[in-house]
Amino acid sequence: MLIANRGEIAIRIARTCKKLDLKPFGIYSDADKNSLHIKHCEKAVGIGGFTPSESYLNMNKIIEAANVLGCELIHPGYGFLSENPDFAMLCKKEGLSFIGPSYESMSITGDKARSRKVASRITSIVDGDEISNETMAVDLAEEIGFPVILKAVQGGGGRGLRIIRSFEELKEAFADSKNEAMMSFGSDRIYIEKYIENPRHIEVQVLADDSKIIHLGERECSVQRRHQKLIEETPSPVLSAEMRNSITKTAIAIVKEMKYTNAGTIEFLFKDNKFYFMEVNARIQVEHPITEAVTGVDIVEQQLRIALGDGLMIKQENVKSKGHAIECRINAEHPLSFVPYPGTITNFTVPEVEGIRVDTAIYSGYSIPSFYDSLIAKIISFANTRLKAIEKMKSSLMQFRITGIPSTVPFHISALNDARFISGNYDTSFIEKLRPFSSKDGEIAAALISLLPKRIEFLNKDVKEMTVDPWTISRFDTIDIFNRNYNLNKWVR
Amino acid sequence: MKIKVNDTQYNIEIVGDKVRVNNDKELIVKQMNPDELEINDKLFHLDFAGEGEPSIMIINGMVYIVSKESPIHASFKEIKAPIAGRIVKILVNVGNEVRKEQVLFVLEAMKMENRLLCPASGKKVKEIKVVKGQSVMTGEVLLIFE
Repeated sequence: MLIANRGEIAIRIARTCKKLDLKPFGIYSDADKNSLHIKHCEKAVGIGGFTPSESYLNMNKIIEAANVLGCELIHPGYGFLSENPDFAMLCKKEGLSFIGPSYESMSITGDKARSRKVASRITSIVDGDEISNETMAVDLAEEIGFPVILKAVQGGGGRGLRIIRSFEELKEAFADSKNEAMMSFGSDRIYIEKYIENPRHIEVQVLADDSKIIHLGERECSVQRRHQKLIEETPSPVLSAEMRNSITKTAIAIVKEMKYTNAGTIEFLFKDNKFYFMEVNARIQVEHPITEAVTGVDIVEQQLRIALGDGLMIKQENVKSKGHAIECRINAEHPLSFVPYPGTITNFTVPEVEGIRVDTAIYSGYSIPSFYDSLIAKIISFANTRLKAIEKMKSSLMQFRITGIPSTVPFHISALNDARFISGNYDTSFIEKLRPFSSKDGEIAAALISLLPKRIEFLNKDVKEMTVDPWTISRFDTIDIFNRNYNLNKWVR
Repeated sequence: MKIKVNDTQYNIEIVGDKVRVNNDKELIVKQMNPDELEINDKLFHLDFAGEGEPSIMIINGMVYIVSKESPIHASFKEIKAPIAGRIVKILVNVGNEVRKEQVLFVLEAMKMENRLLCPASGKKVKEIKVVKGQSVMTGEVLLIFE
């Protein structure tokens, strides 16, 4: 199998390949020559390039790599080509099995205006529609009322959204929004939606083959900055049993209506005890490990079985969620402004705590390339209760050492200590109201800064001279402590 | 030396191998490793110390905004790219007078749009070294002031 991705998700997929006796093969760009994912593949080929479009988005190079390596399957991971129907089609033409939904399903899910229409036959959607000119935009905004949000029809993942509060702003933003959509997603189609202020963001993980659809419960993803998730947890602290039943049933009905197969996530906005369909993510998600932690299902394994026609091996009645799981996304970012901050990691040490899973592709001495996203590690904590999972995450974060670059670790520590998070009473405005630092040990910081750089040697300057063999240092990747398989039948192709 | 941490000011004096805080508490700082310090027999991890004024420090996973109390000098001559990326917007013209925190450039990097702000007021733009859409490397000069 070719893993057409990089970083932690490539390593995560390789792990399931090995479990199933499939050989994971990989690709890497020129910027990723020292990346850990290469080491986890049996073979990997360089496809050149630095930017995504020169490398992990270049369909022809990837197909060529698959042919050179003699692969039969392609797993696209998340991001990059994972939700591109043309890539799925190209794989099919080339005789490669694409691990994901069909071209037809992805054409619906990738077109946000179309998936809204399909979902509206099943459930509530937020008021709005596609708009092709400014007059239409103004008329529609008048009808549904401000604030509204402008989104790209071919967009997703929280990118390129604009919140608009007046006609003036709308007129100003309309052309910009179209241009931006064209630049980022290759299509200038945009749509307008009523903007729901400070909702919660809840999504349902589904698995579907040709004959059956099951769900693996929901994930609460309301802790976001710039519409990008930072903390996810399952189960959601806000859903009643009745509401959970309703939202998961709705998710399954939407998947059925779209004739969608493979793993997918149905995203909803949730406010005042009502949910509204938002979009379908036709891929494995960054936050899938929390669902794996509470259900014991290996989602990548199920993706493979479905794509190869072997069918889902789990029945809904056998999915039994247990305990509580939380994920913190550690990004190479300034912890206050969230500005991305590539650089060299001088020390990376992961605490070995029971019930903590770490999915990462970094190591001491690794230089983070500036061409890809800033996610460097995912920490997943699992415990019997929500409060225990929070405590476990907090103590792991305190013991987690990432040195040489700033990261979102301080943000997570503050967030998990915030009364709103602890009570579960939070929404997408959580970060705006968070004060991510404390006054404790201020004198220590003052003393240390006064001693830098004369008395205390610190920072990257020595590291550049260090010769680091990335393969001998910190070879931890995914510490799998949840290995509770449902079915002991060995999966044989 | 006066140092501001988060919103509290500290008076710091270095006396021999000790650091005196607010003319009172004394701290003995021993460096064990590049990122490990023993302060009065307690272990602290220095995860990150940024450059610039103010900057951040990350100690034991907690973030501190620190500034040495010195007036922010207006001696800056240029704006450099803090990270490699692509210039997607230029919001200033040659001859413009700039004010503090005015957005000068929008730099797309790591799948995000980053706004580059002007560090102080009163300067005039002499030259813009980049064009819209251009890719830049870390440290590349984007703009020169008069």
